[in-house]
Amino acid sequence: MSADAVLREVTLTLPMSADMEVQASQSASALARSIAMSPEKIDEVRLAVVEACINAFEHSHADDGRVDITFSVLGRDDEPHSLEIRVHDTGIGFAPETLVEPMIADKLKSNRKRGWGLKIIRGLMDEVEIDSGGHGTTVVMRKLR
Amino acid sequence: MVEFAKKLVAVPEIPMQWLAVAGTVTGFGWLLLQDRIHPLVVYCMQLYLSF
Repeated sequence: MSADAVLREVTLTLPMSADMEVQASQSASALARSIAMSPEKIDEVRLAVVEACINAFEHSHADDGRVDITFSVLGRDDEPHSLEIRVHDTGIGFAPETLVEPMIADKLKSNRKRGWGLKIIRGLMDEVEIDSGGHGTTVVMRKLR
Repeated sequence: MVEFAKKLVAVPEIPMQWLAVAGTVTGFGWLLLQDRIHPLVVYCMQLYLSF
């Protein structure tokens, strides 16, 4: 995947405010359509982007209150084959390996009902990498065309 | 006769509805942990719980 060239790239910087994730999902959708991705896959990409943005909004606690999203079309010889999306925040970070999946019975009693965002992202995208630490968090997601 | 026996041993009423709910939640939770639930279903469940 690393030998692939970036054929097109779009960068968005979004404030962490209500419904901003919709902007990100629309951009993802437009770029995915431009490489003739199937409508089903486009919907999956949109959903993954929304979840990644909401995760950043809710959990990053970034001082600058913004999320940087980079959409890249990857390919070889001008032939696009995948869409890569990087969602980056400069928040407090977390340790992905220590993240425990919530239990549904506990969530029924809890006030906070979300918590399956990363599971949804991993299920919808073909590749997911998470780099997180004191510098912030970057979630890299890839979907083959 | 049955009524008489029930009175004698005080057979507790089985909460069928509660058992069905507990069984469904436990079963779904187990499938969720095994990654056997489609992510779209997980998303819908999360959305449903949020309301």
